[in-house]
Amino acid sequence: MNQYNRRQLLRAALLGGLGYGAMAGLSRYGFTAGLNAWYEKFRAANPWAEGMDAITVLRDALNGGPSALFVSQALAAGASPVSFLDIFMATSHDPRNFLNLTEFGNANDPTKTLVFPDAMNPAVKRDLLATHPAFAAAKVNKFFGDMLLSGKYMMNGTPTVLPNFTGLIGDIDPSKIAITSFVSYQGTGVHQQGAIPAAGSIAHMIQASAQLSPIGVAAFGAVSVIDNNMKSVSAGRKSKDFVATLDQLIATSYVDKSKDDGSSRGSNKQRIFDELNGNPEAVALRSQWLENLEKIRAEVADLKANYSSLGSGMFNVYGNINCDRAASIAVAAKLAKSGLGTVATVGLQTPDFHATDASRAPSGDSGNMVTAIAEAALGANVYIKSRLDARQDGVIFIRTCSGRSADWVQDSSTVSGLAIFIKGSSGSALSSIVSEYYGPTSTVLNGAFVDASTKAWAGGVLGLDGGTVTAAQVDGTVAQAVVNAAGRTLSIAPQAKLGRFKKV
Amino acid sequence: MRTWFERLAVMSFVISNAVACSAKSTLSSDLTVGASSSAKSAEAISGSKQLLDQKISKETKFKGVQGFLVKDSERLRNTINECLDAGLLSIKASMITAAAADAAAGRKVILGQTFSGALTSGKDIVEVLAADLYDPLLVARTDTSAGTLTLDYLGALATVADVVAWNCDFANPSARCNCGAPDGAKKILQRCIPSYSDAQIDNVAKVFASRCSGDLASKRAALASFLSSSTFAEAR
Repeated sequence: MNQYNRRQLLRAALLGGLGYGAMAGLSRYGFTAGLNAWYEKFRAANPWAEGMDAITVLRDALNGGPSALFVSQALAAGASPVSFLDIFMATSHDPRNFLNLTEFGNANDPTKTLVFPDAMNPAVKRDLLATHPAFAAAKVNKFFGDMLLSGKYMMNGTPTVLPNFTGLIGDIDPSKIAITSFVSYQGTGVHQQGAIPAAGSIAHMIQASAQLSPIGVAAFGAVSVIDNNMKSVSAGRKSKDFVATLDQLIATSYVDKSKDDGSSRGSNKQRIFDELNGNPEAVALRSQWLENLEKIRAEVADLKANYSSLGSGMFNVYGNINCDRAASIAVAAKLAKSGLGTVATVGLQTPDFHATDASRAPSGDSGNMVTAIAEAALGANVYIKSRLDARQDGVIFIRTCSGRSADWVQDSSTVSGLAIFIKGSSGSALSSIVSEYYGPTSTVLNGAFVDASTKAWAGGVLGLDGGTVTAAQVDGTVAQAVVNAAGRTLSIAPQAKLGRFKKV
Repeated sequence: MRTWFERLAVMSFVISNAVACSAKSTLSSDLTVGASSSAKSAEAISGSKQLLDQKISKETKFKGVQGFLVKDSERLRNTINECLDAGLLSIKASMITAAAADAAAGRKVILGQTFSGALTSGKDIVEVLAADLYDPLLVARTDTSAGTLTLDYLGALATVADVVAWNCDFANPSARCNCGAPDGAKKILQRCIPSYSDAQIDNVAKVFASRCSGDLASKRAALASFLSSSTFAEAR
């Protein structure tokens, strides 16, 4: 087939498929513009697609990765962009034993089967615990729940606040959290499966959704950071490094990034060049770009002033932990509140706690499982409070590679995830989406760490307080559920089999 | 003789231009009237302009400037190589050093450390940022928004401009990128945006030359500002 014939065939196909008007448009504007027009129609028919690049989502799904469409729906649903926070706790083994190892369990163990004097050698405690069945999941749930809802952790019944977070934390009304749900998924690596994109993790979904942000992504910790082009490009950093990087990226360039005062020969040197093409929208887009930079500059200045010194938490007699990760979450909350960052990931990497590490005391950057949980809960509290204060919706994913294991020194091959949907805006769409995929909306905060054997290990974080248990589980992976959501919405065959949600 | 397809295409082009012109003239007349009316009407007009600005901002924020086709990464590279000099897109180690050291040396860091994972000395900056600059190979497969001026494109183009400005040998009067050379600014514009008339270029060239007459940093800033503009980005 020669070029002429190919062209004729293509033209005939287009005429047959799209009609003369479309053909005329394509002739004049080219295929790119034609497909853009198709996309505009698609988006007009699907309001949830506003602000997102459907093709990016499709590409992601077709490449075998989890689609961000579910996230996109939520993004489109709220009156304001939904903000996401993904906290990944690379802890191992059963956190309940660590709660007992610190004095929480000692003071609050209702069975009093293990009562340790505070002064007992941690190694002795470790040996005793190693032969003792795990304590009730509700204990860790309560610890987590108390801290999540109050921003304080209980130390022998006394609420304790990390000093640098005073003012950031606050009591959260559980009824303002739309719903929480559990998902349990397994992969091939206890520590990595929740973090490796190829494993189909939530992190990948979050990463993909970064492309949907109108101004980019603010991400911390284990995944990535915002860059000069407002895209996620590199491995994460601690909050203080992150702030320094932002500052550096904004400040250093030959391209004039000064604020546009609107005049051709005014404050911004690019404007006169931009105006030459005579397109007012191109000039407007430049102004938008500069405005975004201005906002980031202002936020960076504030972040430098307030978050460069990080919180320090004392965990009983075991030492201080540098709460950098919780500070990162606070930074994410701040950027989200200002509309600058819509997605953040925070990695809480704790040491691998095998038996020999059981007595590790938190010190500086080195924490343990309890401190990781505490930081996650503390950060989540800050984030939720921020979203509610801003009257914006939000979603938090908290994942841990720690599951329950019969022998607490053994790894469990389970990654557990907790999704918290924050209903901060007056819109109802987020709730309906949550309801569709996660069951009826509940006003009760539920949750527990989940393991592979029992699926939902749910007592609910308020279980001890008589809260209703409605934890859900998914048979399959989060990735499957997300891809399925994409398939359903776009009427294409899902790339993965649907995970089925059910009550437990 | 034109086919009716072509006539229809021309008509739709004329209509779209008319709409665009209408929007421009509305804004223009708003501003004109605003200058000679009472404070109240000026206020209303100012509000009207704000509404238009908001509309533009909202529309362009998410989808970019529709119909404003930009150079894809290949064309961008070729244009820079041909209208300036070859080799200007190459990343140098000094561009990705730590901020503190550069500040001490009185230099600006162009790329920052965030890129360090992707950037290595000698690599082509357009290649590194191709995904944001509409890599034609990628675009052909997956992306229907190719060619639209977007925030991502502007951001990536700014980085490319920084690299070129850093690499340009402003000490060499015969360097084609040297906007500080006699008539250098005008020649750059004529070569890089040849579809514009001399009259259109003259006015901008004077400003360009003026900005490029200072110290090395000023010259780099002047060149980078032009290269990162939407006018240079446009494929026409």
